Amino acid sequence: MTMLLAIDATTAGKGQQQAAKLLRNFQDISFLEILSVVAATWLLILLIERIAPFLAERGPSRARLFILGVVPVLRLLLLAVSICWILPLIFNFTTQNFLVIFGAASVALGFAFKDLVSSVVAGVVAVWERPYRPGDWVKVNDAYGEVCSVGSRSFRLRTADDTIVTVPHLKLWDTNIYNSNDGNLTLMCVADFYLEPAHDAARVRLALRDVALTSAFLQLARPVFVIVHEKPWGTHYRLKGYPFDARDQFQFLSDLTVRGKEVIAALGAVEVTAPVAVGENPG
Amino acid sequence: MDKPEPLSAFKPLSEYKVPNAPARETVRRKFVRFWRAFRPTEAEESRPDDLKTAGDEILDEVAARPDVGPLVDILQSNLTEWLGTTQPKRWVTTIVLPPCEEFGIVEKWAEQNGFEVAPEPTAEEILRADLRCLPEMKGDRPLVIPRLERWVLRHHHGLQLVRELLMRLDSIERHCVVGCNSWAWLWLSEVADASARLPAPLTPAAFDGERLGRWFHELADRSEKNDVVFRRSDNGQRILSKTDAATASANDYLKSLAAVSRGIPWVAWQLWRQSMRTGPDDASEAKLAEKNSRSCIWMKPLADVGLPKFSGNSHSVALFVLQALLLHGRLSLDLLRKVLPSLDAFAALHRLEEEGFVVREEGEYRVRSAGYPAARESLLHAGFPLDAL
Repeated sequence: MTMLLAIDATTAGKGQQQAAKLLRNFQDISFLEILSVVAATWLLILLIERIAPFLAERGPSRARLFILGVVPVLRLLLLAVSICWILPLIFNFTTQNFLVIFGAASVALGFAFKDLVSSVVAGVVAVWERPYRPGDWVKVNDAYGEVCSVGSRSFRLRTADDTIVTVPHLKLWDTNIYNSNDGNLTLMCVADFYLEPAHDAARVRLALRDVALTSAFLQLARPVFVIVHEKPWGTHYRLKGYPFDARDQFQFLSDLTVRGKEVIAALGAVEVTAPVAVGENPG
Repeated sequence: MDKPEPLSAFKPLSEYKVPNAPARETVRRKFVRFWRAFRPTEAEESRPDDLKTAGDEILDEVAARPDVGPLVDILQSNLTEWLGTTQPKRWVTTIVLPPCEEFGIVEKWAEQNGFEVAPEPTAEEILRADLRCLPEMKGDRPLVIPRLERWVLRHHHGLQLVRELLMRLDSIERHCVVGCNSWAWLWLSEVADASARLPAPLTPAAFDGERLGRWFHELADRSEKNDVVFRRSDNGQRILSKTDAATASANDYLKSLAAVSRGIPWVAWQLWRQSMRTGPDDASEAKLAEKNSRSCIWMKPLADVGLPKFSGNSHSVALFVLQALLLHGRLSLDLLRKVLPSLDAFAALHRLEEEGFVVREEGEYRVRSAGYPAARESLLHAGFPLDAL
């Protein structure tokens, strides 16, 4: 009995010692080093976030998306390196300690910062899976714009109206994210025309194709399509083409629309003006 | 004695090889380009030196406007056998020429041989798709269409006529030579199936450093001066000399010139003239103008010549103007407005003219040969579709 008590006392003493060793002695922690690592990481991230867009705007157009896409990857790497650097400065890392810290941190973060942590985790997944990256044109809920930056917790879109929309990475879990170019320089643009059914569809189709083929914004290496749908209210034409630079998409669409209307009028076709055409979701 | 190899030859377009610059020059150019990209866009300071730009009299003496006769002769020798065949495999031969060609090589060849040259349609005829202006597909003499780019406008009504022409050429039964510039050729291949309807084109082989040396030597050789020596102004190295044909072999300067001009002889010739400088004192210039004298021309490095440099951004209207002009060869302001997407072309044209990219001749604008390398580089940088060379 005495022996058992002695063993218990020894085990408890070891547990206390190990718990005490979980954290380094206060005087052993190099706060200067920790501060230096944090400052250096922050500075490097700031530099990368400033320099990459600068380089991307001045470099060749074909390198732009690559340069912008490097930012979130480098930031994640820098954060990972700095965390791996700092943690051993504060904690005594053994397998047991690691499990204790990890368990305690999980519980604390899980309760207190659930959404924040979820966004950060989704941010890491976003860097890996790349559902969006800087330079991509994406639609999330009602917002459509170019991804101008990808942060740890959220990413920012610049819409065509020059409005910045901040979207948390959390959306990745439960919202469809539509990416129009997925890392490519160009994306498909669609100009819609709604005509009364009584017209020569073959001529209108050829004429609309020529409208796209003669656009100054057209990427010649990509195809041009004219899709025709007959609807109860008339004929729906969808003129599809690719501009050579995704940033020209609105000018390209305007060019197609203005000149498309001109050839339609020249061919004697009449556009439908009934409000039924508005909000129709074409296939 | 061996007959010297001709300066150029017409080869399949797919075999066109842009000359490479010497490695050191490539690195230097890339570095300069990188450095310029990140400097504020302020006016560049020019480093003063003692050399003076060579006057027209001197330029015309040692690098006069070249005669395109040799190129016409080469075209002739390439096509003689085909023209002599009564039942050729293909009735049409396509010649794709590099841009900024203002010498009229195909026209001169047709004129020399007395062939029928199809008159170019007016802009109204193109936009109306007036089929009456198409040439007759039957006839005894060979038919020549020197510039296919003059049969089309980048306008939604501007494609029909050239499509009809290409369709008729598909079934022509007389010899026919179709010329086209390399920018229009690529575009027409995409929008009007030109490459499918016409046979694989021939194009003049690129002028590399060695060919340029021989050609410039021939030009200097016409001078009445006893000797003219061309030296680099930065290190004094001899580039070529009138009396010593051996120095005309390729050196780094000529290799760089060939690379910058992408092997296009008329572009290289313009850059060659613009690089010429005379010595610091008036006596030096007077001596140069003197006949029967020995004199030295200093060649500035191409980076210091003050060639046109594009100062706009990658979305500048000016780039759309340059692309439209390269595609059509030359355009009036009215037509330029028709082929551009509702952008204000006038201000951009004015700036391009001031910067030396564009020149106005007889009411029409065209890209200057000396401005072509920078124009192409800027269009490439901004992601525009380019030409076939």
